[in-house]
Amino acid sequence: MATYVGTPVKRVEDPKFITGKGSYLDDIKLPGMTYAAILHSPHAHARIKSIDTSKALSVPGVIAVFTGKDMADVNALPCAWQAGGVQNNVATPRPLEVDEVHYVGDAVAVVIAEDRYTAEDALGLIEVEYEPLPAVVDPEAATQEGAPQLHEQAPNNICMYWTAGNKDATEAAIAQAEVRVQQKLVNQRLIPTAMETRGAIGSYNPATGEYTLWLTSQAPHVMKLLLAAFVLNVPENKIRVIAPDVGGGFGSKIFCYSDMAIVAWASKQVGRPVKYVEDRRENYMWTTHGRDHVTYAEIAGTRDGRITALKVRTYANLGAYLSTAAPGIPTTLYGRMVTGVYKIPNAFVEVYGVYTNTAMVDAYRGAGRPEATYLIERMVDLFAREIGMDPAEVRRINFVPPNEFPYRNAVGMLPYDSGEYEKALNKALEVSGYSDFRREQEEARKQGRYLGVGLSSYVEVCGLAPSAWIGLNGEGWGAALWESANVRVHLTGKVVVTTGTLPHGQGHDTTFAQIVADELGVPLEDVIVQHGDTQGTPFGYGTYGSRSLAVGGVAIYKAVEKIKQKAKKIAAHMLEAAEEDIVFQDGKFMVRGAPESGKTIQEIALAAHLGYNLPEGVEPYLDETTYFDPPNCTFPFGTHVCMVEVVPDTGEVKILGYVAVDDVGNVINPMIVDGQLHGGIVQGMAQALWEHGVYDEHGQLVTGTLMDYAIPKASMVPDFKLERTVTTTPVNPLGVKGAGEAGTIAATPAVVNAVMDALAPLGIRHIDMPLTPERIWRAIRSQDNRS
Amino acid sequence: MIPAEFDYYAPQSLDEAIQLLGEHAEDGKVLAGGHSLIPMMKLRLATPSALIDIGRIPELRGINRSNGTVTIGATTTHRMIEFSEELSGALPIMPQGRQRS
Amino acid sequence: MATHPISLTVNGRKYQSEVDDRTLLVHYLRDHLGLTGTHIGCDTSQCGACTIVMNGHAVKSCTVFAVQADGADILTIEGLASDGQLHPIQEGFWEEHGLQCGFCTPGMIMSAYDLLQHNPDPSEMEIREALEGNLCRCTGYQNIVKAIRYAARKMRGESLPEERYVPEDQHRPAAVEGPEAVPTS
Repeated sequence: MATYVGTPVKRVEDPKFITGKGSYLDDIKLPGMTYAAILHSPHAHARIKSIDTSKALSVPGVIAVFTGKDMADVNALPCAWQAGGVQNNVATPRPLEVDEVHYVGDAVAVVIAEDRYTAEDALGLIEVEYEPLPAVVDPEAATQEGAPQLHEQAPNNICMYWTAGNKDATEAAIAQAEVRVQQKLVNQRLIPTAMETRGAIGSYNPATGEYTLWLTSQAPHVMKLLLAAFVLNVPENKIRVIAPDVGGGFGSKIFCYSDMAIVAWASKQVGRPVKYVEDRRENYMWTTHGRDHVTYAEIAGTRDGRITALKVRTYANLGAYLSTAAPGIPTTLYGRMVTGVYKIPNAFVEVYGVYTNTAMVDAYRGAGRPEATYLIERMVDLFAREIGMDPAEVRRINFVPPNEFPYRNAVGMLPYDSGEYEKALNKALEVSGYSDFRREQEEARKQGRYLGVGLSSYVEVCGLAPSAWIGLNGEGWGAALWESANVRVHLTGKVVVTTGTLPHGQGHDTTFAQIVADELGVPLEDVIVQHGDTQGTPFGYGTYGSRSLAVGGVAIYKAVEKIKQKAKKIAAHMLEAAEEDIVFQDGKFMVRGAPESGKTIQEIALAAHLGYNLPEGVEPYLDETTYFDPPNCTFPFGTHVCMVEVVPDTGEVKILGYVAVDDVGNVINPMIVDGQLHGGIVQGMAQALWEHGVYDEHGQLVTGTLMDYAIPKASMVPDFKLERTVTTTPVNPLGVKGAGEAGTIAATPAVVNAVMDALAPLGIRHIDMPLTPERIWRAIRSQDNRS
Repeated sequence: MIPAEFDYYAPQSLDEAIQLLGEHAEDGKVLAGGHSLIPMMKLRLATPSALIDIGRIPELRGINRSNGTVTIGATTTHRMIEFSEELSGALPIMPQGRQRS
Repeated sequence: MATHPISLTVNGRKYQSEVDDRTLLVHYLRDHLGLTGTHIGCDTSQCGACTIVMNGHAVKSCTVFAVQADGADILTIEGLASDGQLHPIQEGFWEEHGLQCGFCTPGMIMSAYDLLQHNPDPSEMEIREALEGNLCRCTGYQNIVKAIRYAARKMRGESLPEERYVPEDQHRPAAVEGPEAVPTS
């Protein structure tokens, strides 16, 4: 009997991709399809005085030109996750703005033409008269008196003020503490840069009043719901959304975007399908960005290393409007995780969600947890330095001990399910040769060379999420976060699994098939996993928040359990035995102790389909649907170690080695999990050393192309040494926690702590990311000047 | 990311190229490798009305060494320089410099 | 609207077309010939998703006009497998999990093809440097390098390791540039 779970099965998705037969959005052609080009504001803040589309309309091949005024009966996009328990001053974009634009990238007009070349030509002929207004790009500055105001309903550009923890107790603990360390930390804006840019195709059928949309979306059902109910005002059962092969997302493809509404609406107007595909410049201007926090933090404790308090104030840049989930990221997913892996008795965090004249900010791989982990891991290192203790020891002293799970932290997160933080730390220290490296480091310093080692012990929250907790009466998410699965075993014994998740690189088709094949005792190739088309399938919430396996995979498992329950009944009937005497063993449903009697699932599926002789009360077919609402989130954890050398003359950072010890619970396909970690670590490392989404003071996006924004290349990153511990979770029967974001969450502070450790002898305390050679060089120079 | 319209010419000889350049002196551009020009045209930062592609003129390409002189033709690629045996012999810093960049 | 006739060979088939002067080669391949395996990932020639092989060399098809390809011999991802048999590079990517979302993959494979034509036994660093023109956001490159080494071994006719995925491979000492030995005296 083949066992697939736990083995590195080759991906079933790959044959089409490696032969160029993937079907991504821009590969899709429909008869009569037209092309849309969107005109974006060149100003960060301006009133729209007039728009003259006449010249554009006169270009041969142009079918229509629309502005915001034409789309008056289409609503603004919804913000579906407003920060829970507090007032949110909500401003969301219209698909095409009418009166005012608030960031470079805000859309004001659309050209529909026979081909994309003509559409772009016509775009250049649209004449817009703007009255520029002053702009503000820094989230802290935007809250100060005198800053340009973006939205009337948000005085001082504040969308929300949100807190967690106990302010009085925290301030008292800090006041009494032997050691207090304060630091301002900037978690810089990043641009997700999935290799495939976003796109949308809209097609309207006037005979049925139905829309079909193809979207580069991580959450097709959610898009259907939001577009139907909130934006286009059409019945929920008159929109079909199809997510084809999606070329990466990292969060940026979760949200409801203007172009989705535009192509849907325009396809009805022009009576033909309308396709829009962003170019990279547009993707950088108006697809969501990530991170962008300015934080003031204080950590306090005893001289012998015990942390007693943490106080945090964060200005979270939300951008010019609220994207679909924006307020939830710096609150629930960041604010409630700031204490990290540590048992910190007193903590208080306050978050200002702030509007600025920049692109909207929303979830980007890690979504809040990288910001939280960076914060606490930097503060712990600064605390360690202050008291002269090795950072590994400070961590060890303060970990939540294994016997205190489920553990409730001091800032109101759900209880951490399970954890063995010290075990992961020890393994990381051993595998990386930490003590040897410390000796090497000392020797090197004598030679005037600066080696550094950085740790990052993290816990993150994923497997989003119990619906009641995260929902409207809880954390503020406007819907639910259970997940659906349907499993059918057909007459010929072939299995079709339909999942509400939306893989865009994570290999669900393979991983889920492994689980089902093992559970039903069928060959892997007999299981097909389908996703992405909302027609005829159960509603699903999509893929993000490392939820697909922990919620979606568990839903599939439970649907298979239901199938097996029914199969048992049918087998009992076929074998004329009592149901309680039937066991599933070696791929057969048999009378206990009588294997020769066994019936395979294929035999039972045939009988179930035919229905000639089924037990009383049992319907034909083997077809079960499950909606799984997890009882808790899951909390993967681990320790990463990064070793570097910094060259003081040039500020160059050489990565000498990188070790990751991650605990994601049980592992279904170790090859896929490792791949997720590799990619995640590179993104985390990239934040530490290279990437930065920069706006100038006028709100112009300076890093507007791949020429200026430093996505890592193959020659810039090393190999990674990956290890695992396995601490299963009681939260779900598969014992899985989720692995998609852990690499990114852990890596950034590991790299930064390593560089700062290298620079410690030079008296440099902190440098904000990215730690480019220039920033390091300047920090060293200004330290030299001071001494 | 679509360039504006232009007329494309692919002269087969230097004389032809020079003549075309003269005709399009105002608003024409030479196309050689194109990896600075074409991206600028795609962003519409450059909108020449004519492109004169000199990539098919044989005498412009290649590395020649004679009488103590090394001649590198205008459409010789970086790659050709990097792997040139002529240059490794005569001016090794050029292939090395190319490797480092 | 200026147009020119072009004749070229793509994946062994001859084509004759009339194209606008400004049509990019990548659009010609994708939209005119329906070969959508070659992708577009940027506007400024950084990402390499559009990489094809033209006249024997890897070329970014987004930065070439179709008219420039008159008379050219072009190989795209669709032309790599022959008689239903995957090319060793394609096989390597599958065996070593060298792709996740798959969007950069055709360009990555074509760049690897160019590399291995000119350097059949590249070192890890040579592979990484050869891929500087191909961005991947999903894999972190580690398995792409492994995939290309697999292909190189196969193309040199060498035997392949028995176990395809060896967790211990993850545990090699990792360094892009190793530290110089620290003198112990």
